[in-house]
Amino acid sequence: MQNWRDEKNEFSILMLPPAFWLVTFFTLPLVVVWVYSFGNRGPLGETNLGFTLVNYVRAFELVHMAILWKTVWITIIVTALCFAFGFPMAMAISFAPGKWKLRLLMLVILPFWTNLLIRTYAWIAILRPRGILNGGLKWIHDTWYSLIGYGVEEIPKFVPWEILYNDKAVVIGLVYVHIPFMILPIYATMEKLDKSFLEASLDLGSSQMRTIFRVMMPLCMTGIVSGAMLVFVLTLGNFIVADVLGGTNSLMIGNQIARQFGAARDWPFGAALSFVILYATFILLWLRSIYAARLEQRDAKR
Amino acid sequence: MTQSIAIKIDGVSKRYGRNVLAVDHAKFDIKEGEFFTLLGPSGCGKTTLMRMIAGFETLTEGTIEICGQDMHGVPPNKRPVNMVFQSYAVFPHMTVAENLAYGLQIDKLGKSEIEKRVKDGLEMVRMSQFSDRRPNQLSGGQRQRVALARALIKRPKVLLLDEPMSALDAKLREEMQVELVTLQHEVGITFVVVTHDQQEALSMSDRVAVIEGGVVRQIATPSELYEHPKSKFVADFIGKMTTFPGKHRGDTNAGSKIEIPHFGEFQCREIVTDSPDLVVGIRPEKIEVRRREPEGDVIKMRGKVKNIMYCGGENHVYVDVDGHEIVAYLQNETRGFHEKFQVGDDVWSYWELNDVVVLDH
Amino acid sequence: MLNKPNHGVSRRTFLQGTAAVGVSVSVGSKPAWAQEDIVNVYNWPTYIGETTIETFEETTGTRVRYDLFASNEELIGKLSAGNPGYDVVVASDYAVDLLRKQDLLLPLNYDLIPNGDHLEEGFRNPVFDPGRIYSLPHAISTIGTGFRKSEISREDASSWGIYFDNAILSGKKSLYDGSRLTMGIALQFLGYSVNTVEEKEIHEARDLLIAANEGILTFAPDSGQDLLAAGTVHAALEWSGDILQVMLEDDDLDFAVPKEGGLAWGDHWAVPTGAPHPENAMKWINHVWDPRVQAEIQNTIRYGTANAAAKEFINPDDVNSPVVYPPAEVWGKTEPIIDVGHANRLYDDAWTVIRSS
Ligand SMILES: Nc1ncnc2c1ncn2[C@@H]1O[C@H](COP(=O)(O)OP(=O)(O)OP(=O)(O)O)[C@@H](O)[C@H]1O
Ligand SMILES: [Mg+2]
Repeated sequence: MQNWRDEKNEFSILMLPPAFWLVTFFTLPLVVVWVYSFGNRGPLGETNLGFTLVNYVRAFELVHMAILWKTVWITIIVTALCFAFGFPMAMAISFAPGKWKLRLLMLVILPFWTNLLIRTYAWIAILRPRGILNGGLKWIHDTWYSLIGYGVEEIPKFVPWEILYNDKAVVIGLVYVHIPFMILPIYATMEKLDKSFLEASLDLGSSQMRTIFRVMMPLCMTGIVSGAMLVFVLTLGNFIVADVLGGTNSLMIGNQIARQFGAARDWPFGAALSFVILYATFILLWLRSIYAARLEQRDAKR
Repeated sequence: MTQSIAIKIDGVSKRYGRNVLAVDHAKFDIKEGEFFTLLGPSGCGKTTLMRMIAGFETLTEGTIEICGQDMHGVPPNKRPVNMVFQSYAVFPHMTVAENLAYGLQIDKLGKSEIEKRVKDGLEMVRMSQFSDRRPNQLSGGQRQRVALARALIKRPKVLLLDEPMSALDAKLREEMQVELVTLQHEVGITFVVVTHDQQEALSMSDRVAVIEGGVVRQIATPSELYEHPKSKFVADFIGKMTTFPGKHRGDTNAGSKIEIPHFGEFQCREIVTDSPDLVVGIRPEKIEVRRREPEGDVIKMRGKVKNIMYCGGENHVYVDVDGHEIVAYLQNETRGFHEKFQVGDDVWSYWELNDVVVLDH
Repeated sequence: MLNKPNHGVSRRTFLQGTAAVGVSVSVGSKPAWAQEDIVNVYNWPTYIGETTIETFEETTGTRVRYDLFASNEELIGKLSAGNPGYDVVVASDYAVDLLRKQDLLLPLNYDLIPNGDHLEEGFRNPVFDPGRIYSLPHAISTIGTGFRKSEISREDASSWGIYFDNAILSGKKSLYDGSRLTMGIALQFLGYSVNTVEEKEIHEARDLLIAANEGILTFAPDSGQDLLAAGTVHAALEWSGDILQVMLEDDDLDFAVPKEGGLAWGDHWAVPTGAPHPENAMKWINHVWDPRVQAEIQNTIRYGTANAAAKEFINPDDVNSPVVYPPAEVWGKTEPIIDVGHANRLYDDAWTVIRSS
C-alpha cells in the first residue's frame, strides 16, 4: 500500500482545492474582519482602515463585558438544558423501533426547513398572555376550580404566566432552536454504541438510571462534547431569538455585534467585539490544553 | 445423585414479528453445578434462548424458573444470573479494577469488601497485574478474563456465557477451554455456555443441548451424543458420519432386523425403532479398510479408494461403494498396522455390528 | 439606528425577516445589462403598486428588473462597496443624507422628470436633501403611538409621556428596537431635538428610558402592530401605515401623533452613482410620479403621497384619514431623523446601556 507521506506531490495536488476553498471562504473573511477591527468609523458610517486600538478599548468597557458575561451565562444554561432534554430524546430515538427511528429523526430535522425567524415568531404565539400555553393553563385552571365545586362566577381570575419578553423566553427560544444540534451528534454516537455495554451494566445489577449515568453517558461523551460545543457556539452568536423574544434588557453579545454591522454602521467596533470573543475562546482552549497536559503529567508520574 | 434444578425451561417459545420463530417450545432443565452447553448452527436461536434466561428478551410463550422462582417480569438486574457477552462488553471508560467493582457497588458492600473481592477476582483469572489498565490496553483473551471475573465475583447462581471463545484464536481457545472448566469446578457455579463449535461443546460440557431451527433436538452427555445421536442432524453436526438409508424388516427376540438396500441385512442387538424407514450411520473412526476381505461378524462393503487426505494424526480415506461414499479415519502410525493405500485401490471397508447407529430419520 | 418600517399591505413582519435572510435576486454582470434597454430597480418588499411595473414597460418599452432589500444598511452597504448595477433605489430620509454625502447619488435630471412639479411645497426642502437635488418622495408616514381605545384615551395616548410613566399601562407598552427612533421620542419628550448631538441631552434621554424599562414590555423589532392587535400591548410606538393595517381589522385600535411632535418618515427614489442606465432611472421616477400611477401605488401600499396631483385619484377614505395625512399643525411639528455623524457613537453607547439594564 502507498503511504501518502511518500507521495507528497500527489497528495498536495489533491489537497489544493479544499485548501483553496478553506482559505477563500473561511480564512479570508476572518482576516478582513480582523483588519477592520483596527480601523475606525468615519462620520458617515464608512470604515476607514488604519491602526488604532480604540475599538478594543471600547469593547473592554464595563457595559460590553457585562453583556458578554450575561451572554455566557445564558449560553451555559441553554447548553445545559439542551443536554438535559436532548440526551433523553436522542436515547428515545436510538431505542425506538426501526421505522419510528426515521420518523422521529425527521421530526428533529423538520424545523430546519422553516426559516429560523418564523420559527422564533411562532413562539410568541405560544408564550404570549393569550397564547397557546396560557390558554392551556387557563383551561386547566378553570376546569380545576369547577371540578372542586366552584360556580362559574366564583372562579378566581386566571393570571397569565408572564413568560414572554424576558430572559426565560430567550432561554426557551434558544433551547428550541439549538436542541437538534445536541440531539443529532449524541444520537450518532449512540447508534454506534454496542448495546451490550448497556445490557452488561443491567446484568451486573445496575438500575436503568445508573446505567445511563455510569455507562451510557461516558460512552457517548464524544457526541455530548461535540453537541455541547455546537450549541454553545451557535447560542453565543445568536441574536434573532433575543431580538424577537427578549424583554427590554435581554441584549446578548450577538445583538450587540449585529447592530454594529447593521443599524450602528460601526463595522470596526463590531469587528473588535467579535474578535474579543474569538480571543477569549482561544484563551479558554489554551488554558484547557494546559490543564489537560498537567493531568497527563500527573497520570504519567503515578 | 439428586441434584436440584438451577434453571427450568418449560415450553418456551420466542417469536420475532410474525415469521421468525427463533425458539420453538424448548423444554428442559439445567441442574445445579452443571456445565451445560447450548450447541447449534448459526441462527438456530441459542443466543435468543440465553437472552431470555438473562432477562433481555421477553418470552412469547412458556416459563423460565431460576432456582425455583418464576422469572416472569423480573428485570435483568434483579435476576440471580450473570452473563459474559459475546463481545465481552468490558467498559472501555473504566480500568480493569473499576470494571470488576462496578457490579459490586450495587450490592451495598463495604469498601474494603469490594476491594477484597476485586482482588480475589483478579487473582482467580490471573489478571492481578493488570488491575489499572484500560480495556484497550488488553488482548482479547485478557479482556475475556476480565468479563469472566466481573460476572463471577457477583457470585451468581448461574453464569451465562455467549460464545465466550469465538473471538479468540485456536490456540488460546483451547487454553481458555481448560481454564474455564477448571474455574467452574473451583467455584461450583452452574455454567450455561452457548457455542456453535461442537469440539468445544464436547470437551467442556457435562451435558449438551443440540438446537436446530429453534427446536431442541437432543440433550445428552457428550459421549452419549457422540455415540448415540438420535437424528441425522445431530449425528452430522457432531463429528462426521457415513449414513445409509435403511429399512426396518421386523423384530426378533434378539432385536430389530434392518436392511441396507443393495448392501444386505443385519441384525441389531436390541429393538431400535418401529418406523419402517430409517437411517443407519457409522462413525468414520469405527470403520476399517483393508485389501483382503474381512472375516467374522462384521458389516463389509467392497469399493474403490477415491481420495486420501493426510490430516496429521490420521488419514481420512474416502471409499466409493457403488456410488456411495464411505469415510474412514485411519490412525497414522509407524508400526505398519494399517496398510498403505493409493487412489484407485480395490478395498474392503468393514465395521462391527455394535458400532452401527440407527437414527430416526 | 433606524430600521425600515414595514412596507406594503400585508402583515410583513415575517416577510421582512425572511428578506433579511436573503431575498436578493442575483445580479448579473454589468456589461450585459448596460447594452439592454432596461432599468434595474432596487426596492423594499411589497412596496410598489400592483400595475406600476407593467404600465412602465408598456409606456416606455423599457424592461424592468426588480430586486429587493430589507434594510437601509443593506442598501448603503451595497452601494458603498460599489454599485453592483442598480439604476434606481428607495432610501429612507437619513439614508438619502448619508448616500448623498458619500457621493453615492447622482443629481436628478428634472428635464426628464416633468412630473416632479407635482411635489407639494412642504416636501421641497428637507434637511436630508435640501432643494431635492437627489431624491423625490416615494411614500411618507409619521411615527406615533398605536393604541387600544378601550384601554387608553386618545388624549392620554397623544403624549410620549405614557411611555415614561410606569403607572400607565405598566407592562402593556412596546417601544421600537432601534436606538435613534426610541431615543428620539425620549428626546422629544424632554423638549430636545431628535437629532441632537449634545452628550448631556442624550444621557438625559438614556436615563429616562432606563427608568421606564420596568413599564415597557419589550423593544419590538418592528412588530408593534402585531402586539397591539393580539392584545399583548395596548400602546405601541409604530409607523402610521402599520397601525392603519391593524386598524382595518380591529375597530378598537387607533393612532395618534403625540403633542410633543412625533417623527416624520419618508422613503425616496434616488439614482445611485454608477447606475448603468441613468436615463431610464429618470424615466422610471417620472413614471411613478405620474399622478395616476402614484395614486395606484398608494392605493396598494396605503402610505401617504407628497404628490399634490395624485390625491384626487387616491381612495377618499385614505385621503381623509388623519392617520395617513395628519393635519398640517401636526405634520408641522414632526421632525425627520437625519444622520448625526460621530454622535452616532453616543446614541449607540446609550442604547447599549438601556438594553442591558
Ligand atoms: N431482534 C430480532 N428480530 C428479528 N429476528 C431476530 C432478532 N434477533 C434474532 N432474530 C432471529 O432469530 C433467529 C435466532 O437468532 P439467535 O441470535 O438466537 O441465533 P444464534 O443461534 O445465537 O446464532 P449465532 O450463532 O449466529 O449467534 C435468527 O434467525 C435471527 O435472525
Ligand atoms: Mg448468537
